[in-house]
Amino acid sequence: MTSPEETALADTLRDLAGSPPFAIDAADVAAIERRGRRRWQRALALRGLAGVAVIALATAGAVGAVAAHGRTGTGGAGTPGTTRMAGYVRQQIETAPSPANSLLEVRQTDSGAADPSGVDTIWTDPATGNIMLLDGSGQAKLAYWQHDYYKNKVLNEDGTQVNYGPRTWWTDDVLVGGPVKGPVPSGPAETGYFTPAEVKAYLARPGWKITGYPTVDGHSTVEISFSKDGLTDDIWADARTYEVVRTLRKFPRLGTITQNYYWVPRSAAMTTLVNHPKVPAGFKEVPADLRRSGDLRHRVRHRRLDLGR
Amino acid sequence: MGHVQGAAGRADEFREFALERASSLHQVAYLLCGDWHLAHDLVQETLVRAYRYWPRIRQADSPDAYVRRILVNEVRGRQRRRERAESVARFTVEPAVPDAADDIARRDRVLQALLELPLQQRATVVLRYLEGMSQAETAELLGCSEGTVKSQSSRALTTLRKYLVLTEATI
Repeated sequence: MTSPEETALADTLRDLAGSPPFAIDAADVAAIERRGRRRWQRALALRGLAGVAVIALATAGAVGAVAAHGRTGTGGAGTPGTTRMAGYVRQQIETAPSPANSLLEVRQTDSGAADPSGVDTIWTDPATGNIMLLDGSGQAKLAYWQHDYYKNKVLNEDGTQVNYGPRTWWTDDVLVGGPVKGPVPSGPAETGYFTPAEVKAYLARPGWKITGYPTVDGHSTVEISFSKDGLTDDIWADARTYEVVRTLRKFPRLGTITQNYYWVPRSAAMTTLVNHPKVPAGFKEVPADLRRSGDLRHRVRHRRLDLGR
Repeated sequence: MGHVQGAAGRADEFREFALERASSLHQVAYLLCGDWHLAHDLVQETLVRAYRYWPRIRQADSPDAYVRRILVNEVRGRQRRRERAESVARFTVEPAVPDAADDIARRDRVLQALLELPLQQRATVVLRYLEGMSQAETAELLGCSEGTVKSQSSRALTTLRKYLVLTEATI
């Protein structure tokens, strides 16, 4: 095809696509923004608590330091005390033991409509970033594995879901957003918890307060809270080891998500279970049910919240 | 206060972007799916996603390219998931109906020929010839090499030419 033909093709395509003309107005954009905000809030409800955990761990370290100096205040960021706290936390994070020999087990309940079935158990292998979720039992049992990876600088979520009721399974590989700017991050695409660098960035933000020292799951903990615009985060962390014990996120309309955290030993069986999807014999592969696969995908996402926004 | 003003500024930027680019996005969407109303739906979904990732998109080298990529990915995703199988996944179209106006009939045949192409080739043609993107830009947006864009474009044009010769139309 010669250049004049290509020019003619371009003209024809413009004619085809431009007639009748299409436009949106301010009301359309407002509706788009409303949909975007709702989706964003819903995603926040299901994504962020694992990340919050590390902040809790970090802040708990700071609390320990403050307590060691005989102080029991509840100063927020932006005060002299907070500056000192953040510095201490950074040091604690950098010297914290690596979870290389453990897997993170999160037991999650959601009082909102997003997960009416009860408790999800979500394992994350911090070495690979791979995630496995178990939900329900018997005919209602679901198993879901997710592997996140970058391809051509675009984050992909590769999910495998097994539905025990209908004895079916599917895979669903979706692209998430557009290409990243600059080099692709090294290591697991999505680790499910904050990296020290991310935590450092968040520590500069105000709003967190110490609200108590309760005992949770047998741990002496420090409780810290963040509240804004009707959204409340509560985090309980072991005051000695700084490990997160529990997080709670309360939304004004979307209910409450509670996550209990357990670092479990990395056994060969658990490592295989989390990193290698297993479909029971006799189950039939079917096309992915978008609504259901999307639901589980949201539940296992451990992307970070934009804290202090 | 500065935070609030920043957020308001970002919201204004998004609105301006959406109002300005919706028509162009719709043109791409229409040529990729062949359905006017579905294209509208695709544009809305693309802009909803763009809204959500706007803080990141606005910092990209080319917000335009970023959002177009979201659109192409949305089309790909729908095709892959076989959602709306009749109008999207298989991209079937009504047979071109002869029109009194030759020009309209010819355009219908071009559209039909375009929709017969595999999605990757169709996207290559639309981005190259409707959007006027370079091979490098097209490659980056589609996540493939420039060589692939070149070969896909060549195959697409060859197929279009054959199809249009068979239907006695020219482009």
